[in-house]
Amino acid sequence: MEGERRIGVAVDFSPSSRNALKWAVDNVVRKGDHLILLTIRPEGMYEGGEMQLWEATGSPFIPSSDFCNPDIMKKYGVKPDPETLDIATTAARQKEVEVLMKIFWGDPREKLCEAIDNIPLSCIIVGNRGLGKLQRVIMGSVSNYVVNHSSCPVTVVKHHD
Amino acid sequence: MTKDRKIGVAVDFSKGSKLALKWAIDNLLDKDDTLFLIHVKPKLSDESRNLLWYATGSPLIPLIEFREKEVMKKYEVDPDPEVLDMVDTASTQKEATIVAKIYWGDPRDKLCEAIADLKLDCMVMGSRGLGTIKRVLIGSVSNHVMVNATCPVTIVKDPSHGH
Repeated sequence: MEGERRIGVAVDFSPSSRNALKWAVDNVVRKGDHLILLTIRPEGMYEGGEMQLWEATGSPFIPSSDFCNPDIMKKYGVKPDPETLDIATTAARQKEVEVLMKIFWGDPREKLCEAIDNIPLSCIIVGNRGLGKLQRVIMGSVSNYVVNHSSCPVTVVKHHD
Repeated sequence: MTKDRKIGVAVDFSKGSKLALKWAIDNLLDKDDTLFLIHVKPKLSDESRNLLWYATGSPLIPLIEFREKEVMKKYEVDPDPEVLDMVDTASTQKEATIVAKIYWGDPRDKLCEAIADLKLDCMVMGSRGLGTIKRVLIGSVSNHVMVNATCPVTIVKDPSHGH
């Protein structure tokens, strides 16, 4: 049995990423793990001065008490949807895991791969399609890139609509 | 944790697939789950013996059988001792059921068929198998299954491959 694992889930608050999060919680996450929600915001969307500090390394790890607080999240320019938050907080309670969020600014492809190496993550779960305009593709460009370039195991969770 | 899951692992006895198997056992497999080792063999030109299983794949082979060299001889599969060791341990430690199924044909298609046939909850595979092209980041089989599978697919990378 593994020791404490760091399980990453790429979250963009799309239905696909909610699916990925739910799958991760139901199938992978075990007591004692760290579940890390990774959100990537476009570069340059700085709401306040602090963001520039975190451009290189990403935000500090945000505990669940903070990421459920809209005032705090406003500071980061991130608006998590209630359903995603619900899945995360239920997981924290039921599975007895620590759930943290980390926000990066830049290209999601690069930032997710960087996160994998720097945190580091034991594995990452991604949806197959995010909020991109092209909804006809089976697999989005970010998921595809992460699978190809990640240094840790990647699980792609499909969302069928 | 979702109970009684059916977890598939694509096994071609390459190093990559052994890593995938190990990852699945350590990270996904839990008590009461069933682990399906799926092995796809190339279609033989000499059809006489295997015709029976060509279309549907072999019957499900339980662990006690696929550890027997004699049993596996009739399928023309040589059980790899490392793989057997891993699943033996997994079977006892995790209290999970381990079965194998052999298909004949193109691994791309057969793995996707397996997912549907066996109603797998998820599939785990290596990023590159025994193929000759070593420069690609992900082999064509892993890529195909990932795009076309109806269930979540986990690709386990071989750390010796740099990127």
